Order: sequence, then structure tokens, then C-alpha cells
Amino acid sequence: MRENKSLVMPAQAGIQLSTQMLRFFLLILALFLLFLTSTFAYATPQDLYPFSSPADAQRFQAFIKTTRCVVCQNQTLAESNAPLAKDLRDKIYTLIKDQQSDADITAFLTQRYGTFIFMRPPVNYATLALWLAPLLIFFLTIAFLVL
Amino acid sequence: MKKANFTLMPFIILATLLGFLAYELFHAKPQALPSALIGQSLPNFRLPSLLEPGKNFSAAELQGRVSLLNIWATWCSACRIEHETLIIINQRDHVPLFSIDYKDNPEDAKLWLKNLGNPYEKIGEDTQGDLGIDLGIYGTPETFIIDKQGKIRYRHVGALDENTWQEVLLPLVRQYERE
Amino acid sequence: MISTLGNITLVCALLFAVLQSSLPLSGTWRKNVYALAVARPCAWGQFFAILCAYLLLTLAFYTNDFSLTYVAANSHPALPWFYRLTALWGAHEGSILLWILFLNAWTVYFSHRQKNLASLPLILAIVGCVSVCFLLFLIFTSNPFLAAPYPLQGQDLNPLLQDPGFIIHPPMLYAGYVGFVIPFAITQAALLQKKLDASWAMLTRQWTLAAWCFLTLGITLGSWWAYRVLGWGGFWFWDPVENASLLPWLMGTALLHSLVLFEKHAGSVRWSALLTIITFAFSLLGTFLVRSGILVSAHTFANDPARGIFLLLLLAIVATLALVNYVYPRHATLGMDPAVKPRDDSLGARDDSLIGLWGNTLLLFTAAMTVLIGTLYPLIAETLKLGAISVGAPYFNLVMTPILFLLLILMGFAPYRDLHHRKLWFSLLRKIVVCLLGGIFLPWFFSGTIDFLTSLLLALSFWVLINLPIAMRQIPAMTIAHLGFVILILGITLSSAFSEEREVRIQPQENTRLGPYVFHFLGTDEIQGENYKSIRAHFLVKKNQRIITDLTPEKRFYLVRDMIMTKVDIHPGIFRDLYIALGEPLDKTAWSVRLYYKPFIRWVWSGGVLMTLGGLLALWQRRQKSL
Repeated sequence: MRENKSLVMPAQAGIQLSTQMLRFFLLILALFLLFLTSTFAYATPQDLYPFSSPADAQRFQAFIKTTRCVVCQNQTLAESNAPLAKDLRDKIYTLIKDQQSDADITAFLTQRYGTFIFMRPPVNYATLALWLAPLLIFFLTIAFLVL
Repeated sequence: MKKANFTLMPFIILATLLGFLAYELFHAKPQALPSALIGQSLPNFRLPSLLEPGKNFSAAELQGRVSLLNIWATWCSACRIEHETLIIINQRDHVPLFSIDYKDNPEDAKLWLKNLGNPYEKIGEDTQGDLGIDLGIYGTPETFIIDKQGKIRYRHVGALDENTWQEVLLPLVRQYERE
Repeated sequence: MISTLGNITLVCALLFAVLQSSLPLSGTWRKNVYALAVARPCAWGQFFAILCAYLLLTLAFYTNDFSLTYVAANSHPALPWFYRLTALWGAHEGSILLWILFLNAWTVYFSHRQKNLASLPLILAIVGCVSVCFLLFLIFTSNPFLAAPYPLQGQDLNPLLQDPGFIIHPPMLYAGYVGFVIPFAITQAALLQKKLDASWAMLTRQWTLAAWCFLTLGITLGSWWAYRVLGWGGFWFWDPVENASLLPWLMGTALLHSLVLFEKHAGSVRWSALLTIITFAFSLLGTFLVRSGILVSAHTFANDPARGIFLLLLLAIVATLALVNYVYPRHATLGMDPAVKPRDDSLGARDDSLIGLWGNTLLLFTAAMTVLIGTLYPLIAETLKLGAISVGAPYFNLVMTPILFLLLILMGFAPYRDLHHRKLWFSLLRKIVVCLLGGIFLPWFFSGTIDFLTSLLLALSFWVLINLPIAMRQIPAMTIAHLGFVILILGITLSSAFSEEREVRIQPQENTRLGPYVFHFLGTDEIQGENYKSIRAHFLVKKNQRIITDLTPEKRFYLVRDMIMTKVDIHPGIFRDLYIALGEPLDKTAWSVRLYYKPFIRWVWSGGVLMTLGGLLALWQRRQKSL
């Protein structure tokens, strides 16, 4: 194999250094995760979209981050400054506050804008090729190489 | 034989990819979204009628004949350009025109129509934009063809120009009228 | 005047390019030494001509010469001078000029470093052909020296581009993209001469590494820039244009590993050669996709089908010729350097690192093809009348994750040559257990939640880290690059799992909290920039009563382009960023404001930089060796 004789000496120091670095990293990581125990409030009066439960707040975030803004089509509702995006954010907020389930809200949006409005492609016959692509490619490439 | 097939494979893949991309260059309309409501009934709305204070404009009024539903606003410059075409459509081709004033100030809208003319039979005020969302609009102006049963049959996004009207929408309107 | 001069330099460059490509080819054919010798001077001539063109255009921008349409469309007298100079690559025509400049820069650097290479003229000829195509493209469809028919007003540079990130990201990115032409040309020349041997592999590997370093840095900088400018704390969006730059990177990394593989296993020769073609083809494809107008993106240049067809034709010709060249000598013996003994073909026979290398190159190839299909799928679906399907970040994240898992597992095994010893497996098992425990308990212990995905990614990252010291002993450069990759993954995992955000409505003199941080809104004022007007908000950030920093996000209004831009403010830190963006004015004095707490996000870019450093170290070591 490759001989790195010329690098043995600095490499010795390298091993020690990198082992120490590793320990240091892990220590800092652990220490820092300590700071993550602080509480993050979900419903203070200032929230632009106040919710009564963290679960609802998370659902809202999940929706606006995975729904496409149909005007600026490469941004999510969370990111877009388009007026329609704001309307849709408000609409989703209202629907969540009205106790609509995720399925209801999904149906609401799909009915009006089609499945295109979601960033995640649906799983159906049309998208079969898309979802299976990685597996197919992997095995086809192996086949190509072996044969 | 197997080897030959595999030899050809990269070329086939390449040719398919390039052919597809070349086709897309001239045919892709990346921003265009087909309406999800084609074939469904118009959402059941009831909005204040713009030029008739105290009265409403509801979905039921579009039943019985083939008509156009136009979504517009005074703050939309393309709507202004489209307006003349709409007047011609109404007068020359005698197609009933209804419209929704989307997220607009009713006073501005009345002034606008007074200055530019009013081709619409009825105009609904959708100041909050709720009907707009229910119709799945994403850019004004948009024009829907509504058939006799009140079903949405076609959507055109963007300013309606004479050519598109003559070549695409008018034939569809006539076809639906014959149904 | 600049217009005429510029056009002259372009034509000169084209002439040199034509000579550079045709003469050495005929020289090789007819064994004419003089024709071969012409290659290097032509390359230098072309470089100087294009450099002059570039400098002329830069001068035009600096002096606000609006007699050139391109300058008028992208600049304005009020634009600060450093943006005026870099606005050159702000739109299509200038960016193609930059492309060609880098093509020539790589060519002359290669020509200088490899002056004694026998196949140099042939390689230069091949690069020359590519150059000819691009110069024709530039001159006939995208000429930045077009004179305006009448004096024009400056349209100013797109405000999103008026950021320091814009000054370095495109040059690095283009240097990387374009750099893959060198390994491509080296391989094509080797195929023509039927000499795919160890010296070919060594040469290709060096120059692939060089291009790869630039591309890694370029993509990293692009992500950092997007984070700063776009206003919502994201750093990667799986946007089609971003994917277009990722494709050559993924393929290039697969190529690197397969070239390493070649040292140990001769069977990867044809695969490596194929990868050089595909990597460069992806560079060209990326160049096409960004300018074609067929993809929806925030980043695309203005579109024009005529230009698109030209680029597509370029890609077709280059790829087809390259593939024919690759496929043709099917049964010819590939010259093998007797000093390189190929190992047994059966995997795992003697060198178990083969599994890792093969696995890696296959996985990265799969990843690249998946990204390509995902990016193009909406178009495919529409053409096949399958409806409007949108493929966004959730798809890519979901699909790339298993590939990432496998890559991390293999990466951990990298330093082990022989996996047949029981003792080794005992120590490995111990390590695996430690990693799994760390991945599960660390986040649970400190933040109370276990998330399967986060824990698994953490465990796998620890797995790589724990094996790094052993790898360091053997191959420091690889270790540093892998360390960089792990830091990148840690940054992505931790910032996704533990970031917090709030969108609040706030009045001046009010304060709001995000975790332990208190943000005092002091008020706003109006300021006038060189080419914009802005409302600037002042926030004082405190933690535990101690002042940490003050932040000044802005809402800028760029007068000439009539565009509003949100300028965020960030308090960076090694372990967390605080990020604040102004939303909309809500009534007379209240504003909606977005606050983000982003832990470990700097690790994302630090990881990228570390990967680049690893690559540079590898290059430097090679240079030391060859001295």
C-alpha cells in the first residue's frame, strides 16, 4: 500500500492532536447541548400567529414550510412575500385554530390548487418512477458494471 | 450481443435526455399551473354586488348559460390591458361576462369601471380574497369558462388577448353552448 | 470604442482557439512536430485575448460606459464600485465570458505545470474545441460587447446580488465547474492514444482534485450567501439551479474516489473514464439548465430558447464525441503500467477498503442521478401528461438520507484494509455501541426529546469521528476532508433538529424572547444608501441581563430596480447564530419580525471549507512528492 514514511513524524503528532480534538469536540457538543434545555415559549401575546398548544404551532410550521407559494413557485409559504402567500398562511392558521385536522387542511389545499401546491410529491402511479429512481439507478449501475 | 446493448445504453440515455430538453425549451411553461377545479362546480359563493348596493351576487346566477367569470383588480396593470378585450368580447360575441373584484377597494373599482366601461353583468366584491383562494387563483387576471350547469370547464391565466380568445376560448364557449 | 475593441479581442481569442484545436489534432495525425508545438503558444494567446476582453468589460463597468447594452442592463452610476466590477457576471453574457476566462486560465495553468507531458498538445486541442464552441456561442448569441442603439439608462444590479457573497461565490463556482474540462480532456486524449494507465490516473486525479476543491468552496460560499441574503435562515433549498451545481460535485467526488480505487483495482478504469465524461457533461448541463428557462428557480438567468438550443447542441456534440471515443476501443488493450499490479477482482479478497471505495462511487453516482431525475421530473411529468407534479425539498431530503447513511457507514470503515481479524471486529463493535449510545442519549439527556433520524445521523457521525484518528495516521488529507464532511452533516443535523424560530408583532420599546435571549426593539430610522433607501430597525440582544450584541435588520428599497429587499442581521457564533429579519410594517409603528436561533449552523460552511482544505492538502502532498 502507499507508504507515507515522510509523514510519520508529523503524523504521530497528528494522531495525538486529532484524538484530543475529537474529545474536545464531543465535550463541547455535550456542554452545549446543555444550553438547549432552556424553554422556548410557544404562545406569548406577541406571536404573529399565536397558538394555544405547541403541537398546533408545529403543525402550522410544518404546513407553511412544505407548501409551495404558487406565485413565487420556488419558495415555500413561509418564505414568500407574495400577498397570496400571506393570505394562504392566514387561511392555514384559521383552519388550524378551527380544529381542522392535517388531512382536512391537505384536502382543502389540494382541492383548490392540486397536489402541486405541496413540495413533497404524492406517492401514486405517476410518481412511482420518481420514488423508485434511487433504488433502480443503484442496481442498474451495478448491473452495468458487472456485465 | 449483451455487450453491444450495454455499449449503446449511454448513447440512448444521452439522446433521450437531450431530445427531451430540446422539446422542453420550446414547450415548457414552467410557471403555468393547471386548475384543480376543472370539471367541478363553481364554489357556492355569495358576495356583495359591486354596483348594486344591498344586493348579492351568488353562484346560482351563473347557471343556465355558458358564461365567463373574470377575476380582476384595479391594482393589477394586466387587468387594465385586458379590459378592452373584454368589452369587445361582450359586445361583439355576446358572451355573458361576470366578474369578481379581488382584494380591492370597492370605491376604486367603481371609479375604474366608470372610466373604462363596464362589460360585466354582475361583479362580486371579494375584499378578503377568500373566493380567490377557493377558486385556486394565483395571479390576476384569470378568466374561467363556466358551463350551463355551473361547472368550471376552463381557466385562462393572465391578460386575455384577442388571439387567444379567438383561437382557444371562443371555440370552447361555442362548444359548451351546444351541449 | 470599448465595444469595437472588445469584439476584436473576442475574435482574436476565437482565432487562437481554432488554431489551438485544429493544429495539434492534425499534428498528431500526421506526426508533425511543428503543428504540435503550436498548441501551447495558442493557448497562451487565447488566454491573453480573453483576459483583454474581460478587462475591457470590467473597465466599461467601472467607467459606467452605458453605450454597451450589457453594462446598462446591470449597472448604475450609484452602484458601489466593487459591485460595479463584479456586476460583470451578474447576468448571462458576462457570466459566459467568465466561463471562457476560467476555461483559458485552467488551460494555461495546466499547460504550464505539465509542459513536459507528451500528450499535452492533444489535450490542449481538445480543450480548444470546447473553447471554440463557447466562443462561438458568446460572439453570436451572447455578446456582452453589443453596442446599444441609443444611449441607455443604467438599470442597476439586481439587489439580491448586491452582497459580498456575490463577489466570491460565482468565481469559485465557475473555477470548479470549468475545471472539470481538464480531467475530461486528459481522459479523452488518453482514450485516443489508448493509454489509460497509472500515469493517466495520477494526472487525472490531481486535476480533478483541483477543480473539485474550487467547486466545493464555490457551493459552500453559495449556501452561505443564500443564508445571508434570502431572509429566512435556510441554506439549501434543492432549488434547480443549486442542484445544477451539485450534480458535477457529486459526480466529481465519485470520480475522485474511483480514481483512488484505480490504484488498487484495475477494473475501475473504464468506470473512471466514464465518470470524467459525465462530470464534465454535468457541468455543461448545469450551464444549460440555468439559462434555458425551462426550470422555475429564484436563480435563473433570463431565458432565450435560441441560446438554449446552442448550449444543448454543444452538450450533444461534446458528449457524443466523448462517448464514441470512450466506447470505441472496446476490445483494444488498455495500456497497463506493469508497475501497477491489479489486485484480485473478487471484492474483499485482500483489500477491504475496495468495498468502501466502490460503494462510495456507486452511491454518489446514484445520488447524482437521483438529483437529476428529481430536478427534471416536473417537466417529464408534464410532457407525459401525468399532471403538475412538484418535487421539492421534502423529496430530496427523504431520498438522500438513506444514501447518506450508507456513505457515513462506509466512511467510518475507510482506514481498515483488512476486516478479517476478530480482534478488529471486537474493537469496532465497542465503537459502534459507543456511537449508538451517544446518538441516542446525548440529545435525550440534554433536550428531552429523541428523534430517530437525528439520533441515527448523530450516531453515524460519531462513528466516522471515532475512526478518524486511525485514518489520520495513514492519510491525513483524506481524514481532514472526511472530517469536514462529518462537520457539515453535524451542522445540518443539529441546526435542523434544534433550531427555534418565532414570528412576532412588536412595537418600539417592547421586547420579546426567544429562549434565553431577550430582544429589545429600540426603534427604527431611515437611512440612505448609495443606491437604495432603507428603514433600519435597532434591536438590543441580551441574555441573562448581559448585552450580547445589537442587530440592525433593514428593509431596503432599491430605487432604480423598484425592488424591496429584506436585509437580515446575524450574530454569528461557533455554536449558534442569532438571526433576525424584518417582516412587514403592521401599522403605524409595529412591525412583524422573524427571530431565529440556529445552533451549529456555521458548522455547515466550516465543514465545506474543511473539505476544501483536505483536498488542497492532498494536492500539496502530491506536489511535494513529485518535487
